[in-house]
Amino acid sequence: MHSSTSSSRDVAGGAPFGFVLGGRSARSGIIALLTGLVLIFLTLEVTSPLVLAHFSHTEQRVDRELQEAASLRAVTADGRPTILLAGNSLLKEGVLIPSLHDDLATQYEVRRLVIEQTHYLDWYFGLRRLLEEGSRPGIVVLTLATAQLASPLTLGQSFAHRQMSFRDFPRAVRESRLDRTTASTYLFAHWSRWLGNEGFIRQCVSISVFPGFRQLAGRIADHGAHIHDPSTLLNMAQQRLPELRDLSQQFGVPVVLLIPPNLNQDSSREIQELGNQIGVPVWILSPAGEFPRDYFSDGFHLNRRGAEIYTTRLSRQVRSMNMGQVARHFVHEPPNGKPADVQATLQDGSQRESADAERKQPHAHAARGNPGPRSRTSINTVR
Amino acid sequence: MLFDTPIYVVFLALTVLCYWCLPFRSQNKFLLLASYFFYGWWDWRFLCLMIASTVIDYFIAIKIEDTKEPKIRRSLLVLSLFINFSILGLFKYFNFFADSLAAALSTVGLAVSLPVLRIILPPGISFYTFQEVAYIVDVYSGKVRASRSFVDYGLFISLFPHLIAGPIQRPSHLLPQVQRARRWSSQKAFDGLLLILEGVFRKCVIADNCALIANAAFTGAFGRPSIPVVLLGMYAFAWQIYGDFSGYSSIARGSAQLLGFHFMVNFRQPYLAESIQDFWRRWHISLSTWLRDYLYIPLGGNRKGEGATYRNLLLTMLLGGLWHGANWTFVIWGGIHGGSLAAERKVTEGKIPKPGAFRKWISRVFIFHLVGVSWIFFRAQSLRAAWQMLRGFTAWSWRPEFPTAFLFLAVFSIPLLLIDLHLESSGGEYCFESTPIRPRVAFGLACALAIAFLGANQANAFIYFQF
Repeated sequence: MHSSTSSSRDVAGGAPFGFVLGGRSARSGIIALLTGLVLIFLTLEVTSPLVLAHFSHTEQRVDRELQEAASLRAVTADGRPTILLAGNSLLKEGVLIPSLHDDLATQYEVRRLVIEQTHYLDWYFGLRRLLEEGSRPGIVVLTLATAQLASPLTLGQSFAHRQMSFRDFPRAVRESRLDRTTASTYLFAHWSRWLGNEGFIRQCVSISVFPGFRQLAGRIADHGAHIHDPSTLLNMAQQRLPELRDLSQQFGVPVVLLIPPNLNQDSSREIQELGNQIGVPVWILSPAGEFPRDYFSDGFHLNRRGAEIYTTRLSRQVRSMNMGQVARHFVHEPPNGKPADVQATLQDGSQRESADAERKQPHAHAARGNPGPRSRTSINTVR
Repeated sequence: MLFDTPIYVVFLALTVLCYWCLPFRSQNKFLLLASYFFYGWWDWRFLCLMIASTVIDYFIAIKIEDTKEPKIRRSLLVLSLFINFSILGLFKYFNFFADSLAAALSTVGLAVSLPVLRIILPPGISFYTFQEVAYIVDVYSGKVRASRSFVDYGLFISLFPHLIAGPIQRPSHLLPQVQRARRWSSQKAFDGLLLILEGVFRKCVIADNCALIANAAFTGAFGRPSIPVVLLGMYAFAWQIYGDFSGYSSIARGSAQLLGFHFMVNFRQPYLAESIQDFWRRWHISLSTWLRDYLYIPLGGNRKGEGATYRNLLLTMLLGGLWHGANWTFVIWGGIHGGSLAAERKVTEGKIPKPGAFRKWISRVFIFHLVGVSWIFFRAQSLRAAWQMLRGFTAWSWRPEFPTAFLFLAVFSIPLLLIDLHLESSGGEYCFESTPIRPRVAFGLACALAIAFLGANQANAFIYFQF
């Protein structure tokens, strides 16, 4: 234990700051320090997007995809309806965009917008902002796992900067259950390019400084608690699917929820039924547990083999919907309370296609020597 | 409001600017309001609790001073202690003791369902309660005069830089500063700014990065505990908690200096300690001196024989452990330190010899590892988890990520060790205290750049906020 008090300068007996020695140099020190800090901040603020774009291919891609998404119109100049595929790494790894382009090029213009590590709130507010700023894709296909649909997480400061609009700030705070301090940081990050990008820049620094950092990051990153509980998943879906429907109605752009393959049960069927009732089409192109583990690279993301099969299914699903009708419906007649029409339009086509697919295609499982009930199950669940 | 967030920078800048534009009396009122705003930012209900507690002790202290009758004075002291510790006990320990009692009864076959209160722990309650207790005891023993101004006393308790996680200020040190006019000192403000930058560096660069490794090791992300996992977890948490808490203390001291106050130093290079006793002279000094003056000495200290001294040491550290949180892991942590202090005293008979350089480093390494093992209990969520972690010392496994993890840990802990070696050799209170202004400005800007580019991406609240 202590033998004496530790305050090095007890000021109880005299003026707390009797020693104003070196006052002038200290004053110039304060000025130099504050000036330096302001200069550092301004430099970071101005250069961070450039630095990030220079060092990160991911950021270059996201920027490019964001710009493309922002300029989308319902139909292209040559009359093809546009589709915006939005989502996170599950979409990036699970759908081979060049193949999809090739498959659909004559009928549709497909654009992708992938931001890794994003969840429902990132996309709900992100799509709102995109649509508010004038983007009008013919249809938005939002790819989220059911746990991500229910998640309260966002991409943090980056979300606040890139996807959240200022008008949505109070709602984003409420829905992501932020405390006041974090909320204030989001507000600053909304305006500050540095605060919005600092996380990615630090990642780039760590990757360049530490060999093998990517592998380590996979272990040490905090992905937040994973939601498994079916009742929580359904409760959240019940709350969030109407939000997607309202978004769709507000901007006249149909939004479809695409639930990617999952190794484990994920309540996707129940959420699909909920979507039917609410008026948000929910696509399940591979029910939970259908794709075997060897179609996944890490238990969550599809590998090349799984992605090829999944892309084929998505291509077929898109072709099957009567997109022209959907696009015309939304471009010329804003739906205003007609979600069921959209739903019917989107679902009829897919159900027709399901039957076609069942006739034509032995499906993915034939490729791995496992046709049979699973194949049929998968086709039946594509609605 | 966390110290390492943009909102705190804005709050501090506005507060400092307005504060120095006001006359002395208005400064105290303004600062009290600012401090209440700072605290109420979390939840205004917690603010009501703190104000109520402050008001009670304010009046009891005056009553103690005005009363000549020893019996009544003593009764008032007991009343104040009862109220303070009841509030602390209710908010912090009720569920812990209820659960422990239920568990103990169930082992003898009595299944009881005790009421569980779903109460959120108010931030900083342990810190301001200890400060209030120190004030009441000092007024009772005549060491300080009771404050007749509620604004002054309220500010002494709630001055925002120390409000949430200390340093626990002693009445004799801070109260006179509150009661007298402060003068602007460029030198102290400059030191304060550097302390803030150094503190944010300690928190965001050292602690938050080490936290990534510590969390992975303690949550099983590195797999089952084995020698590399336990070493990673132990070293990482040791540097995390030191960087985190010393960073908080530095920012608190720096913020206080911008307002013309001086706070006691809370850490003096603890991992360079050569004995456990030495460690407690360097670690969380404001708590260890509080425990010494208001618990260990009143218990009898070392005045009542050898056995009583060991008992007092153990009891003090057990209660010190429990102060940290309502969990048996903290009690065990306190027990390890109390037991080590007693054992050290027994072996050395209270006289630590001055070793040579080599033996000094051997002692430092040994004490660092002893403290590190105790941190396993501090960090683990339960006794079972701590025990599983310790059992990892008997197993071996290796992963390809481990070399990067050890390198990562070394890169983020060595700078703090270097800072400590510098402070130890200079004997100063501030980094590069005796060097000219320019190198110190460069040091501050280097900290800022490190924070910008090497700060961890995952924001973590200060560990001691939960205490």
